[in-house]
This record gives sequence, C-alpha cells and structure tokens, in this order.
Amino acid sequence: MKLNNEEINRYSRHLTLPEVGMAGQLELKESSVLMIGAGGLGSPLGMYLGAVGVGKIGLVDFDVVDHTNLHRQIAHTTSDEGRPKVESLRDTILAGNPNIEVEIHNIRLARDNVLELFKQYDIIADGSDNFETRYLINDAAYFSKKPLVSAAIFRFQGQITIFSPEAGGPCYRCLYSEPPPASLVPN
Amino acid sequence: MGVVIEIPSALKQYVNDQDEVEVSGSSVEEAIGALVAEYTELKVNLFDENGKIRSFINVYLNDDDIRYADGLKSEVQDGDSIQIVPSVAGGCSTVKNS
Amino acid sequence: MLPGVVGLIQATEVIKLILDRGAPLIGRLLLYDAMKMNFKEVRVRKDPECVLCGDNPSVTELIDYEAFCDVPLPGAEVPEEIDEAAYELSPQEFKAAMDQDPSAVLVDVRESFEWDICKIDGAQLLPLSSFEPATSGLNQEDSIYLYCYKGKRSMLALKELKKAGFKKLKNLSGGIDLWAEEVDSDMPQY
Ligand SMILES: [Zn+2]
Repeated sequence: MKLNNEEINRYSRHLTLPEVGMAGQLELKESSVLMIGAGGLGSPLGMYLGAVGVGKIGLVDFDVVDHTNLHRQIAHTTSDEGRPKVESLRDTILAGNPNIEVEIHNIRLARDNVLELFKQYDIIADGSDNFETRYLINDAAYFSKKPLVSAAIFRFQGQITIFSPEAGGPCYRCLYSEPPPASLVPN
Repeated sequence: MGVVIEIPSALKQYVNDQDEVEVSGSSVEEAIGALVAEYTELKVNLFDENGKIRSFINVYLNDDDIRYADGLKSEVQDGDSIQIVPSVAGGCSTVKNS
Repeated sequence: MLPGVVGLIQATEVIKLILDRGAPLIGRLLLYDAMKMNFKEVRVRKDPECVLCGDNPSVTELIDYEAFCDVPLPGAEVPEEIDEAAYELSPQEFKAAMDQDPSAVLVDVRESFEWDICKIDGAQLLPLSSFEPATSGLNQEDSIYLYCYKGKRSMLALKELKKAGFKKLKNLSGGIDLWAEEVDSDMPQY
C-alpha cells in the first residue's frame, strides 16, 4: 500500500512527526475500526479517526438524527434531521477526508450479527448508550480477540478505558460483573 | 481532617448534591457506614441485602479497587480518599425521561 | 460538550493502539469530571474470577443480554401491579375530564428543571424523586390528575397514591409531550 500525492500532502504534518512518519501513516491507512454509536461520542470519534486517515471505519447505529441531538452530536447538522445517523456521520467523515472508506451498518447490534461484523475490523470502539449493548460488545470483542476502546458518559462525567484481555488486561466484566438493575439506571 | 468520599453524579441526588463528603473512620466500611448513616437513601444504592457493595459499583481507596485489598475492611487514614464509581452506559448524555 | 472531550480521548487511544505508541489505557480507567474540570485515574485489574476472561469461565458463548440486564433491585419495593389502562386518559380525554370536574387537582411529578421548560396551567409540582402521599398535601376527596414527561413516572406516583388510599386518580397518557402535540400546540417539546 502507498500514499498518493494528495495524501502525502494532506498528512504531511503527520509524516514529519517521528511518532507517526510514513510507516505510521500507512499503518493507519491499513487499519480498520468499528464504531458502535454514531451520536455524541461517535461524532468526534469518527470525525477524528477519518481526518487522521484510518483506512476503514465501520459505523453501527440504528437511530435517526433528531432535533434534540444537534446541540452535542456535532457531526449532524440541522439539515440531517430525520436521516439515519450512520449516513449523516459517514457524509461528514468523507467530506473531511475522501481518501478513506466508511462502511455503514444501520442495524441494532445483536447476538446474531455481532461476531460476523467484528471479524471485519481490527479495533472496536464502544460509544453505545445501554448496558445490554455494552455487555454484548464486551463478550463479542473477547471471543473475537479484538481490543475494545470503551467510553461512557453520564451527565458531566466520562469514563474511558481499553479492555484487552488479549494483551493481559481486564474486560468489562472484570470491572463490573453485573449491570445495575433497570430501576436504578439513571436516564 | 477525615476521609473524603467522592460522590459520582449518578448518586449526588442522595447527598444534597454534594461532590464529596468528609467522614471519619478507620476502615472503608466505617467511612462508608458513616456516609450512609447520614444519607440513608444511599444505602440501598450502594449495598446489597447481604451488606456487600453492589456489583455495578466499585469503590477505590486512593485509586485502587478495594476488592484487591481487604475489601470493606481495608484500613483508611486521615487524608485518604475514597472514590465511588458506578457503572455508566451513556453514549450521548441524553436526558431521556419517562 | 462532554461527549466531545470524551470522544476525542477515545479517538486518541484508538490511534495509539494502531500505531503501537505510548501507554495505552489498558488496566486504567480514566475518569473525567467536566464540572470539577479534573481527570482521575483508577486501576482496573483482571479479575481471576471473571466469568468471561477468568480462570474458570462460565460464559463461553454469547448470552441473552436483555435477560442479563433485566435484574430487579433486591430489597426495593416493587410497584404494585394494577390495571394501568383503567387510569389512563388521552390528552383530549384528560383535558375534558378535568374541565368538568370541580374537584380536579392537577399534579406534575417531573423534576423542577423540567417544570422550568414548560408546564400545564394550574398544575402543582410534586417531583417523583421526593414524592410521598402522606406529605404531599393532596386530599383523598379530590380527583388527582397526574402527569409527567411521557406518562411513566406519573403512573408510579399514581400507584403510590392508590396504595395510600386515594381512589379518584387519572394519568395523562403520553405525558406532557403528547399534550404538547395534541392539545397545546404553543407548548415547546423537549
Ligand atoms: Zn474479564
């Protein structure tokens, strides 16, 4: 794999950083990341992963853009209202960097589709908004041997970590063995 | 000077919206016991019926999980900090009401 | 703005994994608090008893996650099972019933920050978070008309009132959100 001249120019500030360089930029181009959630966390996550040149980004979400999303889900604009979030986010990412590939999955992640999907990507990034999906993603990432970069927010607090049992680290169930009872889940 | 317990935003409503509460005690159990004695509604949120910390709540003493020290019996000293960290699952901090 | 900060940290960690550079957030949970504007880090260890990645795993394939996450809170009061439909009124029915009921008392059980956004004229605020029939000041002789945002929280309050002996109870089905759509088009929706 090689960078074309437009890409060399686009990524030149990266190429001159010793921590990235041509080898690193090619690694980014050859990598693939599956993002679950195209909302508040997914917006900046997808926009940055796209801009820096991650070669393939997968987006999973089944929601549509609502007026009340606009103040914080910054990839979506007023004219995107009513569109599937994955389409709106894909368009924003590709407008920023047309050199990459964005695959959209306008589906609810479930037991019968998750493993097939995870197989196609190197890294999983969880920005989902419920416990069922988070435990599903954790277990599927473990069985697929894929590192899981996990972020969650509540009101004014955020939690970020990487679950990577493959690398000797813990998984989500090591951190929290069970979800809160539905009656205690603050919404 | 006592032990400072940091309260996560998910539980702040039970402690008059405070970010942290200072208590005294010589173990994590005593410190948290003093907290729930003052703010009784917290108890069912933190402990199960056997008096164990609920599995969706972690308690850290000076940044390490008490499960890997002596649990609730872990000793504390003045100046220590206890952090209560519940499991959260939000992706976009929506206030979705019922 | 919180998701912006957290999503960018997540992006940074993804890029570091790809480039295999720096110290990844493996075994560390980073806690960000926008109000205090601080970052804290706590240690996360691999649990040898973990049912998935521990020494004797019992979860060896994907499970039913809906069932796994549907856990009741032990020791907590379970709201009484009642025939909810018997108390539900559509926004139009709710308004009509209230208009011709001289003993109607309208109660809003949302939280005060929601009350500040919009409310139905004539309502009194009794947030569910601190709702107690005994101290609510409500009278069993009156007809109590309850509403919240979508109709679920007011049903919980209704059940508490019913348990306390109240008989004349009505719930606004769909809450103030549906009311704004079907009765009061000037009311903002949130
Ligand atoms: Zn584990």
